[in-house]
Amino acid sequence: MKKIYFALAILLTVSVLMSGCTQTDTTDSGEEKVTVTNSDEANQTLNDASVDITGIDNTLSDLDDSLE
Amino acid sequence: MKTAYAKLSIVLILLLISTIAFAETSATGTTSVTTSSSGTAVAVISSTSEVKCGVNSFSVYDECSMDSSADSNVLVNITADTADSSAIVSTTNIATSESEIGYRYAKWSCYDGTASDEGGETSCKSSSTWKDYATRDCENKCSSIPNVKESVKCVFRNTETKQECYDSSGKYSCSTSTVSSTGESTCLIDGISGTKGTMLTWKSSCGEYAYTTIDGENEYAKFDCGQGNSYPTLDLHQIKAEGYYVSQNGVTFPVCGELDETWCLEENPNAEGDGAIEFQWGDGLVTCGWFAGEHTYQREGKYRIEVRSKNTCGFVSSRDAFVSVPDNGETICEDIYSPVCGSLAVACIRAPCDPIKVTYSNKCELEKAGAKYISSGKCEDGSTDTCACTMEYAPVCAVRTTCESNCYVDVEETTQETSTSEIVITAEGNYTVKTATGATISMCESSCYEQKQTYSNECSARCDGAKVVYNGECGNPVECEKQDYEQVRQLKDRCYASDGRIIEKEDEQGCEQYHCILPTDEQECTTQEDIVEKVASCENEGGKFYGRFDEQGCLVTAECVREGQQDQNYEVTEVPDASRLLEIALKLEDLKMEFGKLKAKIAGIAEYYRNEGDTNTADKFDVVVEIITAAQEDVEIIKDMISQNIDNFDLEMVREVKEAIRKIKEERIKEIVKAILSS
Repeated sequence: MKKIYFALAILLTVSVLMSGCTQTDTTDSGEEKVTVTNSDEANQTLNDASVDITGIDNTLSDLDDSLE
Repeated sequence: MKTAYAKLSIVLILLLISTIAFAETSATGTTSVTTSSSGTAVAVISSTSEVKCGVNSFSVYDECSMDSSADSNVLVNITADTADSSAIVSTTNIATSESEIGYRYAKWSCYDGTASDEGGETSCKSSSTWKDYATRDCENKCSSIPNVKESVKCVFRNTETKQECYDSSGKYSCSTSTVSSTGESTCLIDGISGTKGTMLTWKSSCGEYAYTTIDGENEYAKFDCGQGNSYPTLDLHQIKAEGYYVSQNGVTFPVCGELDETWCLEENPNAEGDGAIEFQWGDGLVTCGWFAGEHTYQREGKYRIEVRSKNTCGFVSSRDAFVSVPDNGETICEDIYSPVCGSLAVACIRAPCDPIKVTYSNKCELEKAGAKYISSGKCEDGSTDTCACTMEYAPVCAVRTTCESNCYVDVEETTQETSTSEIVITAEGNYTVKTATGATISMCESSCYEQKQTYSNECSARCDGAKVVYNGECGNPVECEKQDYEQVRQLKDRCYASDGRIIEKEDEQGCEQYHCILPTDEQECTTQEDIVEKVASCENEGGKFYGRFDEQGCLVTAECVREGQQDQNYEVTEVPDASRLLEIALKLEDLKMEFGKLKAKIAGIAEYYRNEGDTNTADKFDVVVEIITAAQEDVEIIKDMISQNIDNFDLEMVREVKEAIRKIKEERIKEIVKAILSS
């Protein structure tokens, strides 16, 4: 079990360090602002966006199911 | 071993905490520095509330003597902090007295991002002289860092049709997707940003106007679509521009009461002139008067002219137009094909000769060429055309806009006015009526339409007043060309002026484009009477009527669902109770946040490509941002539908909500993916 926590800690750390490359700020109005500074980050951000789209699609399906 | 794991975990957690702390620091809105993969330090400046104007940076170089022009390469830099003062930084290698030192070149940048590099071998000027040039050049040029964001909800009252609202620049817009039985509908525009205090003018498809100010707080733009008949009519003609001089003619009619001749000066005590029409020329100057308004600009630039008219019933109408004043005094004409025949004087070498007839693409081009107007339409055979193109076959598909004017005098309406007034028939055959009150009533209606055709080359298309859509013959598109904001704005203005509606649909090339649907195009739609009859018939039989409308607003399927009969498309059997509605509302909030995160990522990518100079890719991602914004509006509408009907949420409402969710899932998501994958 501890191995799992350890692996999770490494994963979290690496992902946070990686997300440090693509900087996410919060504007005064509370909206997110993503700053991309090179092509690698642009590709990574686009990959993240595709994951977001999948999540949105799932949420829409959930909503549809909730109304049946 | 366990201890080692524990220690390592602690180190990692500390690292995690410090990383999060770093992220928190950069979220405070201050300047942060990150390191790119190339190892270069990149300053990331987040939004700030300060707007700076004037000279940002200034430098002079290539030293010379004001008397003898001695060579010496000395660079004097004045930073933004010192640029506002008159102090000049002293330099080394200066042999002559300070009063004799000059510089051949100067560079400066203004806070709006524009930069200048001036000078020449014979331009030996003192630093203070160069500085004066820079100060004058950068006057009123300010940083455009958006410092405030807000949302505007467009609310339409007393309307039975879907409506659209958009700001006068065409940057922001939204349209309603449903029409409620109360005659009220809404749509939301998120992400409006700009300098605090900036006023926005909102237009609606029902012809009404509303105004908001960017102040960081969400606002409403309310349109009473049932009150349209109380507003004065106001139509602007094409601007006439000659160098720095412009003339804006137009037509206004009070509709209710009389035109208010005092309001303009009351609102603008420092305005020049006297009259019921307010002209805001876009350079800070306001005049009051009558058509045609005239103005002379002090410098080149693109200006937005806003014209307003008020009647004594208290209703104000507003229209705007844009004019480009070039720095060389050259007149810029719009790309509208409305050919005119003119007489152009020519200089003959041996003896005096007659002027020649020349066809110009529009009257502006004729005036620009200094020709004399003869008639509308192309000149008869034997005339000269303004273009001469080669026979090279490099086909292009182009769109030509043709405008026609149909003029008439509504005798019944104007009998009283014309009895003491003057009817003027212009050279073009247009009638205008000058009334006793001084107002001018136009009896002309103009309509424009677009026609796509293949030209042998780009020159031929341009000479015919057509705008190239893509290379290649029509019907064989290379790629879709997105209409820019200005095109859409112009299309909307023209369309609404003809009582048309704007829709988004695929053209014959399969490209999504905005189109104008004129009333005459809608003859095949089911009429309102038919719908009313079907609804009445359905309800008389104890059923409920469900209509599906296509993108043009035409009823494509009409279904009467009787009690006990199940809708095959939406298997709805029960109305959700309060707890399930709460669950749905929370999911909608989640959805909105997910769209917000997605939008931030795509906007960040667009900004990256724009900074890299790849505007095509940046524009592509901007389109995606627009679609996501539209999806967010859809979610907001669903939330409104639920909150406004919480007490009477019935099966019909469930179907409507499901339909709206389906639209996001099957249309918006598909649009987003298509836009991302487009080349």
